[in-house]
Amino acid sequence: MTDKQTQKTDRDSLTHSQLPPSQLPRMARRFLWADDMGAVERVILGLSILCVVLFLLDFIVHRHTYVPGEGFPGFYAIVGFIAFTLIVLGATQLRRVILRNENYYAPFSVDAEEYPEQGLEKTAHTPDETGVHIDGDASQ
Amino acid sequence: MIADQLPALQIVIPMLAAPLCVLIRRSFVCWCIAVLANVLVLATSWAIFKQVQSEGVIRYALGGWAAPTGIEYYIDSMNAIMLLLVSFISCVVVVYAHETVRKSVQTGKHYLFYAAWMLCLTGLLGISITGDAFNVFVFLEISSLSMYMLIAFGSDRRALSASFRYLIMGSIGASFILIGIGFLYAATGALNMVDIASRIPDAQSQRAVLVAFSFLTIGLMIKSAVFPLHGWLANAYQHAPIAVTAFLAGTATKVSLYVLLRFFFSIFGTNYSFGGMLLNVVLLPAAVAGFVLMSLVAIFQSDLRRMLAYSSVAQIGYIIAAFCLASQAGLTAGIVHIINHGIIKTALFMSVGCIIYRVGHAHSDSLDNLFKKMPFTVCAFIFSGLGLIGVPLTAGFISKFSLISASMERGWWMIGVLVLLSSLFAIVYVGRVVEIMLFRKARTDNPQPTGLREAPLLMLVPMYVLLAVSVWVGISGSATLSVASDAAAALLGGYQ
Amino acid sequence: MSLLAPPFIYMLAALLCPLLSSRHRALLLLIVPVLGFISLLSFSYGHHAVFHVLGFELTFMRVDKLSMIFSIIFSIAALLGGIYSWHVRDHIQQIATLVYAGAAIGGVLAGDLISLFLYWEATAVASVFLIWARRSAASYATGMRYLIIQVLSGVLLLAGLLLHYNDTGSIAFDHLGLVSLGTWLIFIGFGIKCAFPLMHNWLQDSYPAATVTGTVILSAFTTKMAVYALARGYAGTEILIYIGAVMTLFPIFFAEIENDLRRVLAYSLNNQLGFMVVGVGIGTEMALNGTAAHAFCHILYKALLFMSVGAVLYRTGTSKASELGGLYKTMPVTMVCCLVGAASISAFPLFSGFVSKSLILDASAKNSYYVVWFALVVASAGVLSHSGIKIPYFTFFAHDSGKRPAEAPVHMRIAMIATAVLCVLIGIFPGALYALLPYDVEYKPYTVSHVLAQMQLLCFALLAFVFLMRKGLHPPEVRGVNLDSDWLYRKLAPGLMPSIVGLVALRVTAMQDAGVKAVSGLIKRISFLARPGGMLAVSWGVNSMVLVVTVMMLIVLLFNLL
Repeated sequence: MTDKQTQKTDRDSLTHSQLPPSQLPRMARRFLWADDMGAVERVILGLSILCVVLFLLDFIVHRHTYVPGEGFPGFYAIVGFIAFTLIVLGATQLRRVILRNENYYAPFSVDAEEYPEQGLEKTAHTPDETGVHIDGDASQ
Repeated sequence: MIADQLPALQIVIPMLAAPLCVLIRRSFVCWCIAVLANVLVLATSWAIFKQVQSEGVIRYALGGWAAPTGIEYYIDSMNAIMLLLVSFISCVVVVYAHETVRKSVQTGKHYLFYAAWMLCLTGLLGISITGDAFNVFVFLEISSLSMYMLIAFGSDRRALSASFRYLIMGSIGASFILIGIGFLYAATGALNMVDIASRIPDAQSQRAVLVAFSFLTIGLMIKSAVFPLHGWLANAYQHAPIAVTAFLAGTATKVSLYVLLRFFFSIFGTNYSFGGMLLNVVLLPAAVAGFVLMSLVAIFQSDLRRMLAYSSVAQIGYIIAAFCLASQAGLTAGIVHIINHGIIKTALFMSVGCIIYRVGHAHSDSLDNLFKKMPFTVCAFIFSGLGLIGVPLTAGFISKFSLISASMERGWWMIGVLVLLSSLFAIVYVGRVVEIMLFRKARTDNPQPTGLREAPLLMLVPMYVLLAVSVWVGISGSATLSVASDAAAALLGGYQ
Repeated sequence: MSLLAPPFIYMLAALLCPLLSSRHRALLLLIVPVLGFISLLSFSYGHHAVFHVLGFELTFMRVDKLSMIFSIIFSIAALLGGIYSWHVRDHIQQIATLVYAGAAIGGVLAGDLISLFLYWEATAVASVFLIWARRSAASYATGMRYLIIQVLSGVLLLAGLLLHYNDTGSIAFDHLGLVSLGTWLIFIGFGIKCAFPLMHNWLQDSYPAATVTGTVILSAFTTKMAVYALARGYAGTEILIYIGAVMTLFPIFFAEIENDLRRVLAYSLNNQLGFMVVGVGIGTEMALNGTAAHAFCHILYKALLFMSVGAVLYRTGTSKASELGGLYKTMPVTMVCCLVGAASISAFPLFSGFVSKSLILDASAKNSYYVVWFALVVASAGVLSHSGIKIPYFTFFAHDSGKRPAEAPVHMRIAMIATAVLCVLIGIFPGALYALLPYDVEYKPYTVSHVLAQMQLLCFALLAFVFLMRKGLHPPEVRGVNLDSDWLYRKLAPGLMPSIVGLVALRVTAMQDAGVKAVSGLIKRISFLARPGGMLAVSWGVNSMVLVVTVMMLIVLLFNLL
């Protein structure tokens, strides 16, 4: 088996393996909800409720303020929301001006090259190696 | 008793060693004689150095003939430094030379090599020690003739033409110097430097003095390879046997620079040279153009020896620029750089020599990842390269620092800026080679010789001795600075 | 005793390195920071390791509270970096790491400008090897750019210190202030290393080009040494407040649209430096405390983020957001650590960023820099956008790239977990950090007002993220290069030369043809002059040499006889 072939199989397993949940590390299984749209919706709902509560708290709790206007109810909420939005939208516009092809500075820039293989250890996830398989069985 | 005769011993020892080599003819024995003579010479110059430091100027009448009639050896702190520098570098390099001579010089001619070396050393030491203008010329010829011969020992046939060119240019330079000395004699009627110096102001024909001055300027510029009169240097450095290159780079140009100092500052006097004669109008542009352009040229050289040769011309530019400041601080900087550059460049050439010894040549193309094979050699190259750039804590930093502060003290900002600029060039040309030797993967189309390994111990040890000295100079910078400052004061003060 | 000062220990260890096997070298990288730390603690406050060099009195150990906190965090960063790079066998990287860390510690301990300069240059020279060690053509070019800029910073420092010495006769490194050309030059030298706006590109250019471990090491030292130097020399210099405010804002936009996650982090580093620079500019005790505290926390969480992205790079071979996603399934530990780092940098309560950033914000508000304060608040929302959300979300979640790399190696996990634990501990128990600060602290970060305000800001920013994703307004991750001001010296300057020449030649129609050819030829081919065989480098024939001699002789005679 030459080096190239092993690398190739590594790459393949890096990109195409669809592992069943039981073959994932136990820790990762706690986060599988991230792939479930329903759960994500619930999380977003939770976030929204939290936001509403935080906003309302402003009317109940008196914040110490140093800056004029800081005491305005929901000041931070508004700033947070608007600033974030403007930054993202502004950046999107900026990208239209400054985005270039990855080879723009080539060959004098790392953007156009792959990271040299000898500095890496690209192993694919193997369930046995981490002992997850056994754990999974035990938990069932 | 011996202590009184030290100045004579300084010259006599190598001078006797040369014919001894010719008589004995056995390669190894000749080398031993050369090393032994060199060690003795080094010890002598150390003793002289110490004596000058404690007792001041030594004046020694050769053969007991007093000054106007006989030849006088005149040793102040400047001479003492040069003696020590030359004998130290020669001593280190001659030890190193053994392996390279065995490898690259024709077997039957080793004894001639060492004999020529001893003669050359005699000449260089003689120039540095003598207080007689005509004697300077004589020793200059001794050292030059033997140097042409040493260069011609190069295994490459181009060594012959390089040597020939150097011979032509060197002879022109020497004749100019001789003419200059002749005119001085005509104008003042003296050959002893102290006498000339005292008689110049009242000389009958100021025009003769002036012509002498002009001839000496050009002659010494050729000899010390000041840009644009450096044409002989690159080929000579590239094609000479490597030990000779190291020796030549560390000593020959430096000694010529010393002569230049001696004539312009002690004999003609600072005011005459830089006030009346506007020497800096000629020298300073040449020096600045030299260190900027030659550093630039060095970047593009693929042969390491050639690269270092151009870098040498650039460094000579620094030294001349420092002289042109014509101040205590400037002279100190120049003298310190003579010392530091002598040591650093010799170390660099020695490490390149180790590479040539193993790889066969020093083309930067075929040094890929050399660090794996020759770590000590490459380390030595890197360390001395850092010194060449002038990285802090190396000897080179001391001299650049003092040069820049001296130019600021004089108010010549541009010099400082240009020195920094050319240091950036130095980063590039040293960095380029270091990158190749450390990081570049060995290519298949340009294979290094198989079984490439570290250079022999007999080459590594002297190289590291030199490195150790340069590190010591760099770390304890004040030692060389104070010595150089003494020498500068002696030069500026003129003869008592 | 003074010979065993921490920086000297690092340098000695670096000298020792070539003699050791690679395993032992890796071990050395762990032992040396510990030894250095012990040695550091053994020094009392005051000046130590004073040497007389070149007629100057150089102080290599000036121990006070300000230099102490920086040397402590540098030692910690060196140790964590050592653990993280346990797998590295490359002695060049290992030696460079030791020298670099030692020089950085030496830099913050330096009591005078000359020894500061020595270490300043040493960090530049040592760190470039961490970039070159990637061993590719591009990293070589990038390293050269990096080195030139870093050395330029040192050269400015040197020029400034000489001028300053000429003016005042003192090389002491205390408060300098912008009072003369010399101090201005020093200021700019510091500013380059601190990545001031328009001098910042070396940072974003080089950090993504270093090795996996090299970037982690690089992120800790150079810039924070510069922050320390500014705090020491230019505390209370008002211009710094505005420089800092600009620094916090503009990198956000670039980070938002950058694809290479290590470059995102470099922009984010730039933005965090802005907070520290503002603190230095305000210059009150509270603000300087804030700067020191923020540097301390920042080194940890930024290292943590670089470590997690580095681990991903190590396993997948890429750090580009467009190529990643869904990695949480097989790299959960890295993901959690990354989240901790993200929460810390976003300054969520209970994480380290919260307890340090509020000091600077409050200092700016209390000193009535309202506009600056507002900029910092906005920047805080921006930090969340690129470091808090973008890094973890697009690496570990978002659309599944299908990559299933193994979890990071054990030593990387240890380093990341240790760093993460530190981030959380500082967040929960800020008292320990506050005890280290240069001035006495009377500050409570966990007040209802603070927590509420910060939670509002962050939660609503999160909400905005959700909103933008829903609307499809969030910019997708696409491959590409974003121009920044480095375009000036990477594209414009090299490209402009011929066109300038062309313009000039157009005007001067008479000599158009000859002019353009001669001048553009000169510029384009200046190298040819200097190449082997070029005019300057040709081996001169004897007659041309003699000609030169004659000409020179003529010149000399002309000058002398006239």
